[in-house]
Amino acid sequence: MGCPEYETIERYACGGLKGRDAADFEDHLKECRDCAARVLQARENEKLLAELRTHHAEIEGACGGKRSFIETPDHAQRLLGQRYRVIRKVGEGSAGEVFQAIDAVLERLVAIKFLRPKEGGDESARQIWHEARMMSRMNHPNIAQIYEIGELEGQRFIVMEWVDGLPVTDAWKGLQVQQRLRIFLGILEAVGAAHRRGIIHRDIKPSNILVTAELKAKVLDFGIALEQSSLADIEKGPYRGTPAYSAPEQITEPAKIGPATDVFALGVLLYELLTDTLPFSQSDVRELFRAIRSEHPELPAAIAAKTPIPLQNICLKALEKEPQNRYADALSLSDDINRYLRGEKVWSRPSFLADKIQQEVFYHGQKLKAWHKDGLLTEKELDRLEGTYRRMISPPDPSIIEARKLSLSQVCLYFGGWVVVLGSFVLFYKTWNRVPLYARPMPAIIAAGLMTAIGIVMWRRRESRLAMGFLATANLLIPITILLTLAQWEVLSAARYPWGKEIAYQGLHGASYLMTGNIQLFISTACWLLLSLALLRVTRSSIFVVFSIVAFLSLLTTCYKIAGLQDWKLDVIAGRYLYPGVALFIMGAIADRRGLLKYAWPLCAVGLALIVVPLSVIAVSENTLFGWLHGTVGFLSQVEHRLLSFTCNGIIYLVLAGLCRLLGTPLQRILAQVLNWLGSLHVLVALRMLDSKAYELPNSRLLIYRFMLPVASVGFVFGSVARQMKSFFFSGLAGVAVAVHRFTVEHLDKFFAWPVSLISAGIIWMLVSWLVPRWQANRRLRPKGQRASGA
Amino acid sequence: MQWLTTTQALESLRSSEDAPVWEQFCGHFRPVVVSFARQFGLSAADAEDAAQEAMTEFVKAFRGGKYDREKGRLSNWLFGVATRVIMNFRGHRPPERLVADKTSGTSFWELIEDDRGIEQSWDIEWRRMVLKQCVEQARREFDRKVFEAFELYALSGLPVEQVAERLAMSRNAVYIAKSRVLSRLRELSSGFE
Repeated sequence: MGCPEYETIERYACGGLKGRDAADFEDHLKECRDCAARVLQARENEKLLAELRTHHAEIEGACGGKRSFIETPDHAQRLLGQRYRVIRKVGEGSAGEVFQAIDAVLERLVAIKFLRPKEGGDESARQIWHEARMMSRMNHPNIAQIYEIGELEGQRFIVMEWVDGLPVTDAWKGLQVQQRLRIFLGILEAVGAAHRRGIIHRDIKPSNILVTAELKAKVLDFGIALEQSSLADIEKGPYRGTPAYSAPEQITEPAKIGPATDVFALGVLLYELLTDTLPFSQSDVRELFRAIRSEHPELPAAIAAKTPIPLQNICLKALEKEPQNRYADALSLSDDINRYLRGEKVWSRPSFLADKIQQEVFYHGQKLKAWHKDGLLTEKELDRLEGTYRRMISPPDPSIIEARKLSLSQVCLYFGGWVVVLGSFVLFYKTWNRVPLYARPMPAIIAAGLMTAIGIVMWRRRESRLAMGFLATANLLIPITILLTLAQWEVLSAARYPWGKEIAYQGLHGASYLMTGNIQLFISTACWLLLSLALLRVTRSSIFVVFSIVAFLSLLTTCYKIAGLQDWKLDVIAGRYLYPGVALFIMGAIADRRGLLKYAWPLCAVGLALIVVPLSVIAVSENTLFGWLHGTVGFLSQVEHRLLSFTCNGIIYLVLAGLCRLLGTPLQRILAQVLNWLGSLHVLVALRMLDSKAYELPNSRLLIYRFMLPVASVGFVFGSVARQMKSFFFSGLAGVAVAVHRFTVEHLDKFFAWPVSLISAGIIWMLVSWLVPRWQANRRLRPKGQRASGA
Repeated sequence: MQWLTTTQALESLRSSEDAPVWEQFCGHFRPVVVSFARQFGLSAADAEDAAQEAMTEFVKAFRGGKYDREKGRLSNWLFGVATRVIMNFRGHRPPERLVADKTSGTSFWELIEDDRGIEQSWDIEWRRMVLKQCVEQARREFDRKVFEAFELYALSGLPVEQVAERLAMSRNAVYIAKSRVLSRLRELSSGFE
């Protein structure tokens, strides 16, 4: 018996030979030493092979890496059969081989890509197919469409749209920046659409983006890019990708790869768009990687002087080292570019510049404090400079700034919203007898629903500017609608106390506001407050702080009404609002202390208004707080009571101003100034009132009160010097004017000498104030001079 | 590239100052150190630097006659040098870089519990390098078709029928190709140590 074929030896060595064949072969082995040696050798070989397979990835590199596995169009044709006629091989990459072919059935050109067999197991393969399937469902004009995916004899292949074009960087040679941006936006749309579906390209580079003759960009190799860095590679293993377009995390932290990785590559492309050079162009890969990870690219404007600064900032933000500092995905990047193209302000600022500014500002802040301490800066200047710096470091959210800005589109939006609100008000206060009952609130309900829905959708789509318009309108509409509905449909209308006064029940013919009960009002205002707070929490926009405060006050009023405390005597109402005023003010002060300026200022402003207005109302009303004094100090007249009230108010304001100064934040300092003005004016108004009513008083006190205003005014003017109180200075000047006027009218009506003497006195006063200091200064110098000459 | 056993490589390294020998030597051993350094949590660029330094240090010591082949394998000696250099490298990174690198690395550092673990991972890297070099050499030596048969059948695991059909060979020829290449690979790898 001759030696068996090598196959038998091989199978025996691997344990693949069974039964009779195995027995025969063993018999042969006993006789043939050659075959025995071969079996031994084969076993040793298998051991080595097992080892080789564990290091397969590296060994494959040694085998020639990019060696073709489907070499010729003929081979491809053999695999594909009748449907596709292969024309030529167009390329070969690390992921596979690409052929141009004609789809014989649909008669169109296609590109067919055979994927290189790959380690990574079933999981990896499944993931790749999953992505490919998802991509094939994506029908985007800027993505080369996938027509078919399949497997033939273990060869996986993808049939794609044939794109006849040039790599993007070649295609846009000679084009203007604006034209290039149009192409670039197409790319962003494609990548953005994929990002929205959670697909990351991972290998964006000019050769993967072809531009057709119509200047339309087509992104290739979507999802297939995953093939190049399969899951196993992502967790550990060598770097894959195109070095010049790789994000830092692609090199060092593959776990962090995400949409922002594509944003980096797009940033590189944008940099090329602006400057025609790569941001990192080191020829040595090691140097290149080092640069990508730790160096900042040269500013595009330094290379191409005409680069618009907003585009430069957008580009640098896309090239941030940390993924979280970049645009979150291609969509946000395209938002900012569109903003630039529309001529709107672009808020992005590269973090390394921002960091630099922040550092500088910090040192400046320290310096400013030192200067203030040394008396080189006043407190006011310090506040103003610090405020400017604060805004520089942390500008508010761009969308909020845009929502606040009175652009034509924004004004149109708000105007429309306001008209809707007004329309609902008309529904509320007019009688609609001809309209059936159920239909009366309908327009408002539909409008409110529509506004809310659009607002929410816009907010989700991150169109904050539009969302704010709709949400603010909805915020005003919803309480009105609730009120309208409850009133017209007579829900919870048992406790009916029509608006303010007792009015006879008007049945179905009444206007809504006449049919509104307190409970309904309570429900509506409570809903409004909750809604405003919820919107405030979600949007963090200060407009909802204002809405919340107004809603709170409305709710409070309703509660007073329900409790029967709503008296139409002004001073009594005023007294009731003093407490919430104080509460709001304290809340504002607390918010201010915690640095929540956005919440602090509306709270403080409304709080202050609710303190000042009631106090003033109480002071002027007949039934003053000091009414009880009437019994105690009976000889004081009504006018004097008022004087006392006003003076007390003035003192309260001044004390409050002092407290605000003690709190010491910039906002509190502004409030202190406001309070100072209020205090001084208050006292002055009181004096003036007293002055005019002095005739009602007994003669004994008449003279004192008649001279009180001019004396106090002059006191204010000169008293202001001590603490730089400009409020008192100007109030004093105003008081003097009033006093002069009264004297003129009442006592010196016919005397020409009166104005002349006033003018003369003024001139003399000015001359004295000019000459006296000079004379004093001379006197101070002279004795020294005399002593010197005497010596 | 000419095939060199380790002994030959070291000999020429001792006697010659010229760049090609040095480059070839680095080509063999440097990837091992880079890969090893990466596992220590060094970033790609740092690992490259560390490897460069380790190679330079090794050659300096070797030319200074500090390495005696009788006393131990080259692998062990290079392991010592590489570990020292990498530790040094880690020590000299500014703290913030190290923190960043540590989080960015493979966190392999936490996995290594004792020196044995470090040595094992070195051995794996070393063996991988040896196998890679040998496969490269074998590819140069064999007829293209033979090597391809080995690669498709033995490494990629395609069915023997497919390989035979694609390369227009008999099945037996595919088996023989596999056996020949593997035998040669064994020879080469034993000569390498």
